[in-house]
Amino acid sequence: MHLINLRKTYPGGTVALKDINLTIKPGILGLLGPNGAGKSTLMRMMATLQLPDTGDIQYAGYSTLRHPRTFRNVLGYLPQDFGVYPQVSAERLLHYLAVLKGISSRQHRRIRIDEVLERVNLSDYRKQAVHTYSGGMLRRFGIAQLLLNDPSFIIVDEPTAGLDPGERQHFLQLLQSLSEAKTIVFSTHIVDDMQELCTDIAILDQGCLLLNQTPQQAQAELQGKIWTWTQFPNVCAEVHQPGTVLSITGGSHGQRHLRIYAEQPPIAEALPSPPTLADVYFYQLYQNGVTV
Amino acid sequence: MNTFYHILAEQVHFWIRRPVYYLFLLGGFLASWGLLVGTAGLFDPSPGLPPARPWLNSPVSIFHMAAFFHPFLLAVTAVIAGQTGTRDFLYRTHLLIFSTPVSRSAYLLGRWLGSVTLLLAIAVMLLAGLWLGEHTPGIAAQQLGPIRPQAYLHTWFLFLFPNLIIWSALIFMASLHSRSTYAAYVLAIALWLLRFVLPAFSAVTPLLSVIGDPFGEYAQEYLIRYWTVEQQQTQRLPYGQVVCWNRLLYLCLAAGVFTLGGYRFHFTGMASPGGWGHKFILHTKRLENLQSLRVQYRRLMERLPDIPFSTQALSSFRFPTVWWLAMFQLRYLIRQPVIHLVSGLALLSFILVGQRILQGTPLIFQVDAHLLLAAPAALFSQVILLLTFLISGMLVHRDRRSRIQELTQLNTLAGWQPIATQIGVVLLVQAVLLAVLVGIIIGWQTLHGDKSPDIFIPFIYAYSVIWPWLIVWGLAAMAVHQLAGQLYTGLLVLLLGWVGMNLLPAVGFTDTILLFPGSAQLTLSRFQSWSRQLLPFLYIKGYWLSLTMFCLITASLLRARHTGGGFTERWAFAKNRIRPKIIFLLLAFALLWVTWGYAIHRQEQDGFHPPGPAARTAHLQSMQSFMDRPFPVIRDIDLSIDLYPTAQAYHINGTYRLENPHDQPIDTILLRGGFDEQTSFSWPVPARKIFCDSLFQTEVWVLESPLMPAEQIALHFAVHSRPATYFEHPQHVEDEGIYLRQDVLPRLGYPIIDSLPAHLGRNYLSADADLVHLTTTICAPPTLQTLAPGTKTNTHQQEDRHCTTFTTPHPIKFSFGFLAGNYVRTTEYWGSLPLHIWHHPAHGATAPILTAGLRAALQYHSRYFPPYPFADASVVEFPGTLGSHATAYANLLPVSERNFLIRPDTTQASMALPFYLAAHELTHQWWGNQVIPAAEPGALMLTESITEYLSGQIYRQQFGDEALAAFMRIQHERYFRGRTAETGTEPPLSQVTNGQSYLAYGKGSLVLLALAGQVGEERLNYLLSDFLRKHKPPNYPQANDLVQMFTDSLPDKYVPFLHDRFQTVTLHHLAWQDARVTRKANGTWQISIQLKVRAERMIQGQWQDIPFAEAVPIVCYNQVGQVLEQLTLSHDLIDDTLSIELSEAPSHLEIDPDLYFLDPDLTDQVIYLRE
Repeated sequence: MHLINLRKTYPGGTVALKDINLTIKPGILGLLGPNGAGKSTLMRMMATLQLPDTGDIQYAGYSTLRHPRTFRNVLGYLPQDFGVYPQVSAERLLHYLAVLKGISSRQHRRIRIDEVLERVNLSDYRKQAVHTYSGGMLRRFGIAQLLLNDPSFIIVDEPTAGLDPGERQHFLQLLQSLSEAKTIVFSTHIVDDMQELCTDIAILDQGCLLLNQTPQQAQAELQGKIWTWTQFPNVCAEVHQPGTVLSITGGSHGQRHLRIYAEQPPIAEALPSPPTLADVYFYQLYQNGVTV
Repeated sequence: MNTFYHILAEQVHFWIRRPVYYLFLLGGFLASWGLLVGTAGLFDPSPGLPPARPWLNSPVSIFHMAAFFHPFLLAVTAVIAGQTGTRDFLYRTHLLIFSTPVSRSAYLLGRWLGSVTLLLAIAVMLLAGLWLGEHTPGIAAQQLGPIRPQAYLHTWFLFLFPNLIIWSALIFMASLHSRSTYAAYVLAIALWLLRFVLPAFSAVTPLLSVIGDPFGEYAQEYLIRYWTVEQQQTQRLPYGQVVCWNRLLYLCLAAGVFTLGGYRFHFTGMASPGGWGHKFILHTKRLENLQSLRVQYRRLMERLPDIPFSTQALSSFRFPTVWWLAMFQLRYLIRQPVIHLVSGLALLSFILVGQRILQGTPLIFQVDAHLLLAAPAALFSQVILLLTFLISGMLVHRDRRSRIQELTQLNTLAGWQPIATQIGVVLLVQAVLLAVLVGIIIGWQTLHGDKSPDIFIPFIYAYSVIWPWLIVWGLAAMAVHQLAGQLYTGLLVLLLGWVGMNLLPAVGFTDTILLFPGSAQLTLSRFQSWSRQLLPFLYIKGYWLSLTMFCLITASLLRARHTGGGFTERWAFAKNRIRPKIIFLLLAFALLWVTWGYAIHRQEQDGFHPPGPAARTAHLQSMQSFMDRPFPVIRDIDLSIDLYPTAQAYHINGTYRLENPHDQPIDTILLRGGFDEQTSFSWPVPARKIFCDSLFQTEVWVLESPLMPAEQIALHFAVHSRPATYFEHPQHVEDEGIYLRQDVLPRLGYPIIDSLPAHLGRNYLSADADLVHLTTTICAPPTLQTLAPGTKTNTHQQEDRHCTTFTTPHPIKFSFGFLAGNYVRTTEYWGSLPLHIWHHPAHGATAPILTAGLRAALQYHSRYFPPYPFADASVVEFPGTLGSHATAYANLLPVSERNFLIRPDTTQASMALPFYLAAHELTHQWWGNQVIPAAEPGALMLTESITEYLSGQIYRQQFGDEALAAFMRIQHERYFRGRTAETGTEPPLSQVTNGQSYLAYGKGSLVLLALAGQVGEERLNYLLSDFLRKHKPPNYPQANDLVQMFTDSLPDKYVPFLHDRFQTVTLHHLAWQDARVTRKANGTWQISIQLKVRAERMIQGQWQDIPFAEAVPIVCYNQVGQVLEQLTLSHDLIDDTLSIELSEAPSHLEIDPDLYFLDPDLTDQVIYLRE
């Protein structure tokens, strides 16, 4: 998929996207960015639910903006937050969504629904009303519905938000299993999720695309420039070289662990550290004028 | 207090940020302004618009105009107060708000009063619109009276303000505890329906409907039900007992519901899932049973089958997908309690209103499909319409309300399929409810013993008249909801549109192409083919269907999506989705609509348009020079009538034999044809036309040789019906039923009989004829029987047509009709006199009761009056689309089809309308045909008053005194209700004029029955007989001749009565002051009574009290209603307290049970005794 010069401004003047140009290759693209960066807007555009002011989205040689129904045949979408019809069982609701996705044959639907429910481990709960599901079950239901038409392009918007660690792990494994021969775009706040899954990452901030690389490439660029230092209470350190504090985490007894970007060791006690995706993320934000 | 204020302010602020609120402020303002100025003729300033009576800004008029908007205000209340109760649950803010320390009272009162504030602002705008209306320049002064703020204050403080308080309190609590805005709509619909069904209980408790009306209108109407126009214009509206009781009842109800609801409201409980209903179920002991029921119900819903369809043939249309989706949506709908509740309310109201119509106190009817298809079905269809608005919105907004739209919008369906699904579901629900309606009508007939219930008519009506109307509105509702961002916005726009559409005719918009169908009603007739009746109706529906399709396609392009509703966003999506196919469809429907509309407009333009008041005035002025010119009279008429029902046309060739009755020659003759016909004249002598007005079909001819006194001449004429258009046809002709009257024939002389000089006058019906010999030959297709006044003297065939000649055995007055139809004839005899009933084959059930009426009338009149003058008597049914009346022409008594639909229960003594009609019309053979009044005021007293009196006596003879008492109550109501519509000055009975039937029928019958009660029925009837014998034509008497004869023939003690009742406008007011009973030592009972009596008379335009100089009849009853004592209280004893001694325990007393006096208020004439 090629995103070409996408631009979107909301009433009131908020610029959600500023001339986004992005190529999404098969694999898993992780979309990272702070709140209000434009991730959901971008995902809704890719999912043909929203139109840009200018620009185009090309997939397999055609514009998805001009031919949304064609693209929806191969699309699976799981929004960040969605509702369900009350008093409707999972099985029936999946039937309904399958019909909407063009699976008109009842037998075919039945087979497909059995498969997706099995895949997301909800077969035992198929007769239960969806609105009674727990958060994790609802997410799995969301995955089930997006798999109905065996999509080749999947968009998931913050799929692990609000899940407990076990559910989150399970969900990521599910996504991993889906990635074969498919293109998956998923957004998250949790950088670790990307570390494990993504073949590509893209970082958005204030409507701008800051980075689009593989995780390895992004990390490699910061190799040798990331330093860690533990600051003890009431202890001052002598700064040798200028640097940028990328992140600060708390430790015991009032200690603070700093991760610093600098060309050279900024402090004598600073230790070199392999760059992580979080470092990449914070560094990009810093470059874009966002301070931690 | 601070918290309360902020909650109230936030509630107001929430709505005032929404454009839809301003839509309703402005819409209400413009609608009320438009109603007043439109009624005043601002949009149709034709000169000669009659003055408004009462004034459009009189207190009564302001009240009525404001009350017109009550349904609109109720709907707005349902939205605003309903949304107020559910807002926090809808937007899921309740978890935040309910966990704050806000008090319950601050929250509830703040929210509710905030909604009240918003509603009151809308109501203020309504009144402001009316106020501005009366100040709008350009309105004729005669439409308005003095400006009175009191009119607005009364309406505001007694109705608008309390109604909004009451409705909002009830609706707010209902939606709050159910957490559903649908509860608000159901409650609003229930309140609206309540006022239609309450009158069904009026037979049980007459005041129930008055006090129980949630709008308060009935209570106010009850207090002014007998107000004349003068009173309506000048008097302040009363707020007597019933109004106060009504307001108090509902205010207490609202206060009680609000208090109880507030008491049961807890933040803790409300934060948990489920509404009040859910908690109620949890707390009942029948939990298990209820849960079991719910499980069974759910299983039933689950078992609703997927309808199997072979996809092979239809796969290219993807119909199975649409069907499956439709069933999915249908399951959702039929599981919504609101659907069941509203449908149940509709059915219940249909049954209750239908029961009231059928009982028609004191008329009793068998269950009849036509009656049920009138008002009851109209109400039912209105509720289905409201349901259509609701379910359209529920379907369109379902995904957004469930927040699943991001999943469901990612569908691969063709653009039309989701909309087709929703439309299909809506139409299916409509069709099912109509099927229930048809089933109830058929079942009702069967339950009441009808062995051949009418199935066809209800089915045809439901699916050919009501359903097309519902379909058009259904599509419009889908279009509106597609555009509306919220369910309630769409509902309000639709309701406003519906109210507005019904308002258009009232403000002067009458073109068919402008009137979006406001209701689905059509008068059907068995005498017309279904295609003729339905096709024009459906043609117009097709016109509106093409518009709604265009709007629906446009709306679906611009529909609100999940991303919000900004127009820019919608326009971008619409541009993205537009395709050549869609453009083609839009153009096609637009073109269809324009073309169709043009065709309808052209047809209407080509149709008949009666001249306006200005043209009439100009025409009469041009006739002034001919007003006092003598003209001949018609002695004989020879007519040859050709009927062409298939072409809806007729031709008449005729000859008048004219005679000069004056003592001077006549050379200039004014001839008039009918408006609806094309008439041409020819003379056998040289003559030239000197004047012609084709609009009014008037010609003036000059004979070369004048017509000398007593000389006769023939006038030949030809009358052709005007060509029929698709929507209009000559008003006398249907496919299988024709009813022509004398007004299709030409007339002589100045058109206004009353304005003619005395020497030119004749009788009340015609100045150009006394009695005439009539010979009529009617030719028609052989399937039709033809009828004309007189006896059949000849029949012959003319090619493929059958011709019959009728000749009157003796001259008759110039009033006749000619009928043809596919009749069945039922014949019985009174002695040797045949009594024929000519009726449609399906309408034979009424024949026996009509015959009974004829027989009873003949039996009665034969005792007093000359013999019936014809060889037979024929009641003939004519198409209901040509009128609803009955009348008498010589031996023919045409009666409307609508009266043949009434099949009275003949096993009961009842006010059987067909019996009454037959008796009444036959009585006109004497009164109206043997006595023909002069062309003077009072003529109707000699025709209708006497006929109505005699009909009452015939009724009493047949059905007993109770039936007569019921008859008199009807006449009482007729008189006093009729006075409220009298725009002129009410004259005395002996001066009654045309258009004052309330006086002729109502007061006339009461007065003559009272006179008969005084002097005796026999004596009065013999006096009438004398009068009849002395005044045969051409002796044309006046009403005062009869009064004079009464005065001369009756003892002097009756003179005040005669003067009072016949020659003045006098009303009486009789009421009980007190009545007590005491048991005496000897075991007898003593009653002491005090009466309050008063009489007033209209003298020179003013009501003045006059001495009460008549005795008052009083009747005393026991516990079981038997008469214990009847006495007549002399007028000079009335002011005293009187005693009556009785041997049996009395229960109650009644003043004047036989309605001897003309007292508007009968409710204070019965008193139950106190010890």
